[in-house]
Amino acid sequence: MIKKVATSLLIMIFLLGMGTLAYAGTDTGNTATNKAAALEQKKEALQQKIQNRQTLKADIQPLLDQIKANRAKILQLRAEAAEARTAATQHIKDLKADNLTDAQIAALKQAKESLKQARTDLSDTKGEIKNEMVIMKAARKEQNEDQVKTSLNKIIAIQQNRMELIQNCIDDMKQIQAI
Amino acid sequence: MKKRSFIVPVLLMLVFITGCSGDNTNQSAKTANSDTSSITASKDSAKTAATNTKASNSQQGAEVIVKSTGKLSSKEKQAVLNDVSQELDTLVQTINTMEDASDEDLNF
Repeated sequence: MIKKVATSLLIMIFLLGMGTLAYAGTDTGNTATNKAAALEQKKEALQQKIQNRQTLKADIQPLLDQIKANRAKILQLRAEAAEARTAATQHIKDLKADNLTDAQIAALKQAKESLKQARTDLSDTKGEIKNEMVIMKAARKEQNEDQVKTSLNKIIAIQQNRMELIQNCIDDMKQIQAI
Repeated sequence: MKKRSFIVPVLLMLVFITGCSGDNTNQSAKTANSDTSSITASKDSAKTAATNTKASNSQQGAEVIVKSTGKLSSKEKQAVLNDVSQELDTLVQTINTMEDASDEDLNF
């Protein structure tokens, strides 16, 4: 009799143990599924981000190319300006103060004012590209494509303005050589 | 009564004379200031400028008024040349220090 009761108790304990294990197994399975789903979500978000970045890059590539081309042109203009300055300075050295006519003096004064104005205009654009870059980077981080494009277009406009101003400076310097 | 009638016109005359001479001095001083600014500017300009001199007598003595015709001395001409040269240097320096977009900024 005692044996039977003990056996029954053992069987019950075994069954209870198995049930708990089975439940635990189900729970672990759910967690794994959730983790996998989260991982999948992250993967999709990353893919979307890469996709967005590629789309943005494709959209703005012409603007980036334009900025790079302008930058190269500005470097070329800088070199031209340096050459024109050297020639103008040499011409000024060659001019003898005593022999200067009233017309030459007037032309030199005019040239000086013109150069001064060009310098002021150029100085006014100093820092504008840097500021626009800060705005553009923030927009890029927020994936604000419109703002990125707006900033890049502004940078192009600033570069074009500078190119025009530097070209005017070069023309002024060439005029000095003709005095 | 007679004394008073004599003193009043005399006083009036004195006031009139003093007023006129003061005004005259001011006018000549003004003319001298406006016309002879180049005299104080440099001796050279006074020498080289075509000068029209006229003496004007006033109570303080003769004043020489030099009218400049805008001619510059060689020093002033040299200063103009130096100014242009300096402006050229500053301008090129400004051009060379302008910032631009870097490759890093444009790397998307």
